[in-house]
Amino acid sequence: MTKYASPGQVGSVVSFKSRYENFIGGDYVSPIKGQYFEDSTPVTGQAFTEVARSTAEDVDLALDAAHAAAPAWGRTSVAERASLLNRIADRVESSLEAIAIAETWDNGKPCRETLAADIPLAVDHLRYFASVIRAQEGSLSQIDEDLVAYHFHEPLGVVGQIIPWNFPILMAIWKLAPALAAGNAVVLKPAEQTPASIHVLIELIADLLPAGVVNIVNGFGAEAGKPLASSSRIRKIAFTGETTTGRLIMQYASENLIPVTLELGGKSPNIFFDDVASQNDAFYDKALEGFTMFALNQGEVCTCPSRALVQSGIYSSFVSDGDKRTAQIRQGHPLDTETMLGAQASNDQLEKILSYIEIGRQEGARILIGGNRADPGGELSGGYYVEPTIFEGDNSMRVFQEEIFGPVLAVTHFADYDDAVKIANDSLYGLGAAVWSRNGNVAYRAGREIQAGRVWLNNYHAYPAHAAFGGYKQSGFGRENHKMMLDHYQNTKNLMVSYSENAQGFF
Amino acid sequence: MSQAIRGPDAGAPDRVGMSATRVTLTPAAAGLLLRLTAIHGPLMFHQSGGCCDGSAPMCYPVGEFRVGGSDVRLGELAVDGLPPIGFYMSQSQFGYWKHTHLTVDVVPGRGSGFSVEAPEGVRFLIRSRLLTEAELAELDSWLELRPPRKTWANRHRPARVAGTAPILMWWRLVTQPRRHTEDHRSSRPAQLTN
Repeated sequence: MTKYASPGQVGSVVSFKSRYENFIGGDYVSPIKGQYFEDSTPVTGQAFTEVARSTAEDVDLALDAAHAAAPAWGRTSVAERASLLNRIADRVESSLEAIAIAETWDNGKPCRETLAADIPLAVDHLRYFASVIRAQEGSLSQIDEDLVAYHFHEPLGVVGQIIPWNFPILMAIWKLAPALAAGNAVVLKPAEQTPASIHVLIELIADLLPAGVVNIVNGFGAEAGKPLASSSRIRKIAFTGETTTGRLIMQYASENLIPVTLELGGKSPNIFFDDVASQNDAFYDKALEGFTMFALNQGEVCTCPSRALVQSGIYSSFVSDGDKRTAQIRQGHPLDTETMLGAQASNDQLEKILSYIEIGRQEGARILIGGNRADPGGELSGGYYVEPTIFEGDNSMRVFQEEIFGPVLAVTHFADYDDAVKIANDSLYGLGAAVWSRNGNVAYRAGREIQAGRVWLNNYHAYPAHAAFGGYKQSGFGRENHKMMLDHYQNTKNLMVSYSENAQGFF
Repeated sequence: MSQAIRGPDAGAPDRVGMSATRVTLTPAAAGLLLRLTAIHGPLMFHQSGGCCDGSAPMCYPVGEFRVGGSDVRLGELAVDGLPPIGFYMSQSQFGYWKHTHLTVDVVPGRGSGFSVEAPEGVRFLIRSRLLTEAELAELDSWLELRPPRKTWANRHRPARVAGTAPILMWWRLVTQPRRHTEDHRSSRPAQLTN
C-alpha cells in the first residue's frame, strides 16, 4: 500500500501552481478581463489553485494563434506529426506518476485508476494515432483509361474541442490525438470542474508543441464554451457531455454549417443470463466483478453499467453475491493505492446523485446496499463521497432511465432472451452495454440486437485504442478511439485528372 | 427573444378547480433567477439527459436554445417581478418523467454545460417527487385536451405577434383562458415550495 502525499504537502510527486492562465500560441497568457475562478479538489472540498475565467476575447486570441499555426502544421509530413505524438507520449509516460496524482487531485478518482488506466491509456492513445496516421493511405479510382480520380486526406484546419470532467486528461487526449495526427490546429476548453490537471501535462510538453497548434482556454461554458462552439472560425466542433448542451452545440454548428461529433452518455444495460451461474468458477467470479463495474470511477463514466438485468433463474443468488462483492469495495482516500472508490467530481454532482437516490426510494425501488452520502472522516469529510448503492426495481423507474453518473446501480430481472433485449433497448440512449453468457451464440446474437455503439461480451470497461467508441440513438455520433476518428478530422480532396490530349467533345 | 416553435404543452391550464403543476421552484432558485435575469434577460430551462452534467436543468436566455416540436413544456416558473420562465424537456424524456413532479433548486457547485448560473459558483438541481393520483388525473386530462402541435407553435410567437394572432384568439375562445402568455409582460404571484 502506498499513500501519496497531497499536492501542496511535503513529499508530493506533483505541485500545482497557484494560478493557471490560458495556453495560447505556445505561451501562458493572462485572460484579457483578468478574471480567474477557484478550483477545488473533490477529495477534501478545498480550493488549491485558480484558473483563467476566459471570455470571447480569449477564445478569439486562441483562434488567432490556431489560424496562424494551422497552414504550416497541416503541411507537415505525417512522419513529423507522428513523431510529435510519440514524443508527447514518451514525455507523459516518463512523468506518469505526477500527471496521475494531479488528475486524482483535480477529479477525485482513485490514484489506482489514474496510475493504471487514465494516463497509460492516454499514452497508448497518442502512440496509436501516431501509428495509424503513418499507415493511412489515400486512394485512386481509375475512371477510364485516361481519367483518374485521386483521393487525398486533408486537415480541416482549426477545430474546437470541449472536454468533460470525468476523465479530464484521457478525454482530452482522445480528442487531441486524432485531430493533431490529421494535421489540425486545436482550441480546447477543459471542463470547469477539472480545469487544472491538463496544465500539468501541457507544462511538461509545451516545448514539444509547435506554437499555436494546441491552445487551451479555460472558463465556463456560457462564457468561453459558447464563443468557441459558435465561432465561424472553427471547421469542426467535438463535444462530450449531455443531450441539451449537445443540441445547443449542434444548433451553433448549424449556423456555421460545420460538422459535429457528440458523445452524450447513456444508461448502459449489463445483462446476465442464467448460464453465468452454472458453475462457481473463475468465470462466475468475473461476472460478479462485471456486475460491480458500476462503481468504477464512482460511476462517472458515460458507459457506466448502471442497469443490471439478471435472468430470473439466478436472480436472487446472483444479486445477493453481487451485493457482497459490492460491499467489498474499498472507499477511501483517493491518493491511497488500495482505494477503489474515491470522490465524486463536484458538490453539485454529489447533490444530484443524492436527489436520484431519493426519487428512487419514492418510486418504490428497494435499496439493497448503500443509499447515503459517505463520510470517510478526517480531511475527507469536506469531500464528495457516496456509498456504492444498489436499487432493485423496474425498468420504467427514473433511476433505470436516467444517467445518475454516480456509483448507483439499478437491478431488475428478465424472463428470457427476448425480454432481456426488450428491456435493454427500452432506453433513450445507446452508448454501452454488456452481455454475460457461457453460450457464445446467445451472447453474439444479443450483442448484435442491442442498440448501442459498444457492446462488451463477457467483459466490461475495457477502452483500448483501436476499438471504436460512440453512440446509437440519443448517445450521439462519431466514433472515437479508433482510426476511423481520423475521418472526422479530415476533408477528402478529390483530384480528377485527365491524361488525355483530346477535347472532351462537348463544344 | 422568441420561443416560436415548439411541441405540446404538458403544464396544466389555469382554470377553475385545477391546481396541479408539474414543475415549481424553491425560494433559493427564485432568488438566483432574479439575479441571473438582471444579467442575461428573460430565461428558460431545458432539462438535460445523458452523461456528465446530464439529468440537470440547463438555464438559458430565452431564444438561445431552440425548443422545437420534439420538446414538451412542463410549465412556467413564477418569480415575483419576472416574466414566466418556461420549463421544457424533450418529449422522449418526458415519457419517462411524466409521473414525477419537479422542483428546481440550487446548490453550490461548479456546474458545466452552457447553463448561465455556473459562473456564480452554483448549479440548478432538480428535486423530484411522485405526482399524486389526483394530480395525475388533472394533468392527464390536460394532456388529452392539447391541440395539434402546429396550432400550438403559433401561440408562442413573440408577444407582438401572439397578442394579435387570430389563432390565439380562436384557441382562447374554444378552450379555456390561458394562465400565462409568453409575452413577458404578465407576472403572477410567486408559487414557491417550502
